[in-house]
This record gives sequence, C-alpha cells and structure tokens, in this order.
Amino acid sequence: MTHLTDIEIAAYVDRNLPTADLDRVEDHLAGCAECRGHVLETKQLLRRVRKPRRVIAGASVAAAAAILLVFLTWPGNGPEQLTAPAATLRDGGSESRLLAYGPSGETARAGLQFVWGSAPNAASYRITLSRSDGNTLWSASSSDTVAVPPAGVGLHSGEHYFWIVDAIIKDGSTRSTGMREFEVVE
Amino acid sequence: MDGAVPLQLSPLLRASDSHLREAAWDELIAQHTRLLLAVARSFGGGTDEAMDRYAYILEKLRAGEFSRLRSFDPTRGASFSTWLAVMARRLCLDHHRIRYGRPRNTHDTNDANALRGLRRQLEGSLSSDLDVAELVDSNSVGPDARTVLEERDTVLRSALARLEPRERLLLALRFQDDLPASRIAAIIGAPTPFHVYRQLNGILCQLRAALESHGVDGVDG
Repeated sequence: MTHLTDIEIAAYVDRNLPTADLDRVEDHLAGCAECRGHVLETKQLLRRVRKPRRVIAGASVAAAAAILLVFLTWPGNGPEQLTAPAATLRDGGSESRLLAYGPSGETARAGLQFVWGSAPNAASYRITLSRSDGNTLWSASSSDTVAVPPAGVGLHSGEHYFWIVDAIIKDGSTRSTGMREFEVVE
Repeated sequence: MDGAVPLQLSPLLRASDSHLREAAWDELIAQHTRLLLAVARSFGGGTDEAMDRYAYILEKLRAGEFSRLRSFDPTRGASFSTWLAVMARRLCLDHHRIRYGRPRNTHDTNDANALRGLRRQLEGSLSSDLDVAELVDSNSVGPDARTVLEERDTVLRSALARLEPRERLLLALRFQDDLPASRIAAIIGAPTPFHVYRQLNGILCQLRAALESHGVDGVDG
C-alpha cells in the first residue's frame, strides 16, 4: 500500500488540502490505520504545543486586577462605576463575534468560571453549557461577563463540555462567542 | 520544491556563506525547538531518550545539505510547522525502529482485522435501536446466527463500499479508533461534535436500510 506523503498529511491536518485531493486522501485514511495514526497524533501534538500558556493568562488577570484596584481606590469612584473598567478591560472584540476568554482546553473543575468579553449596548448575556451529546446542562442570564455554574451542575473529569454565550443587544440584535469546548481535568 | 522557497527557509537555503547559513539554522531551530521537543517527548521514555530523539531529528534535518527541508513545498496547502511536526514524528519512528525494531502500537493492525472489528461493532449497533455511543460486540453466537451474520457481512461490505470517503473515514475514526465525537470534529473540520453525531446516525440509517432492503434480519445480542 502506498501511504500518504508528509505534505498530504500536514495539509489534511491543517484542513487546507486542495479540494481535488480531499476525497482521495480521506478514502485512503478510511482504510489505513497507520496514516490515520499520523493525522491523529500530529493533531494532538499541535493542539498541545499551540495552546496559549496559562502563565500568560494569569499575568493578564493579575494586571487587570491591579488596574481595577487603582480605579477603586481613586477618589470619587462609586460602586455604580464598577462595570465600566471591567468592560474596558474585557473588550468585546470584533464586530460580529463576542470574545470568549475561557474556559478552553484542559480545565480544572475547581474554581471553574466562564468569562467573556463585553458587547457595547448589551442588555444581557445568556450562557448555555452542554454535554458532548448535545444535552443542555445549565443555562442562565446575566448582566455581567462572568458566570459560575451552580454546585448542582455535575462536571466529570475527562469529559468534554461545550459552552456558548449570546449577548442580547438593546437594538434587538445578538452577538455570540460561538460554541467553545473544554475538557475537565482533576 | 520547484523553486518556491518558503519564507521561513529562505535565509537558510539561500545563505551565501556558511556563517550566514549557521546563523539562519540556529534561528530556525530556536523558532521550532518547542515543537520538536514536544514531538521527541511524545514517544515516551525519560529525558535522555527524548533528547536522543531530538538530536536525531536535528541531525536528519541537516543531512544532505538540508535535503529534507528543501523538500517542503509551500504550495501544497500545509503550513511549515505542521509539516515539520509530521516529518519529525516520522524521524522519531525511524529512530525507534533502528534501536528497537518495528514498534507495536494500536495502529499497527492489518486491514482485515480492522475491518472485522468495524463490522462487528456495526452489526451490534444495527441489530437494535442503540445510540451510536453504545455498541454491542456480538461475539458469542450459534451456527445459525453465524450464517445470518455472514450474510449481513456481505451486504455490509457492499454498502460500505458505496459510502463516500468522508463517511467511511467517520466510521473508522469512531468505531476503529474509538475516538469521541469532539476529536473527530476537530480532525474532519466539523463545526461541533453534534454534526459528527448527526452524520454518524445518518450513515447508520443508510446501512440499516441496505440490510433491510436485502431482507437481512437483526441478531439478538
């Protein structure tokens, strides 16, 4: 059996294979465990290597907390202005997509919280958490850009979960984070 | 490479003297060391073994005036780092074979055994209204039931051959490699795992219809 070349495997992993080659390559992969193994292992490896490092996220959160602390201690700031710097620090991102900060990838169950970017003129946010079989585990509305699942929502180690946040804008339009995935680890 | 030198390799492959070439090589390796080390570590063993593999990768990438790197064609759809990861993995497999002989792993099965396993799992799921995630391995059956299974096997083989390549790949990833829908979605580029479940259910419906049209009955347990 003639196996796939390195460039064909790499192009398939990158999902950038020329259309004319896709059927042929997938036909080969369907019948060749060795080449499938190359695709699977390479995909896993790149996912680990390209994952943003937690230390960077931690530094951003620490910097954000420091700025917030300065704002809170500045004379004249009342509690009603607490949401303004948070919205500035967690910018909503592009026009069409709501920014999703986390969780993403392998995530510890302890301290799990969902964080997303704010949308200008958002009336509220709706978060939905689902299992990998599509069943909804938990759904809630919030005016904040952080949500913590209640204790009764059972998340199991080794399981994959999906979450999505929809921002309902005051003019009736919506923006979404799109479906995000994470895996619970101990 | 047909003359098209990728940007990442241009300083190395077009260097006019050895000093510039060495500087370009050091820079290229510095950029991709994390990836290459991850590849080397992914084959297990301790730090020494991983570093042996890492050194082997670098040695082979340099060999023949960087002939392996020169073989990268940026017009074929793959990014350089992905191609480098695939290339490095193959080199690690070569390193393992040189040292320990051909490695035994879950992917080193012959096609006949793999297909038999797939059919057993498909037969189990088609004999009742089971969810795709729940498979019954119908291993222990009597002679009469075995005849029915062989008949079903023939019909299944024919039906499988009529599936699209993507559909056959989905079946292989799910029933031979035992991958969850989320990983399958990432590999084939499906938007969500739900798309994978829907496609798999659709394929099983097709196969069920093929069995029913040939009058092949289900087998209990």
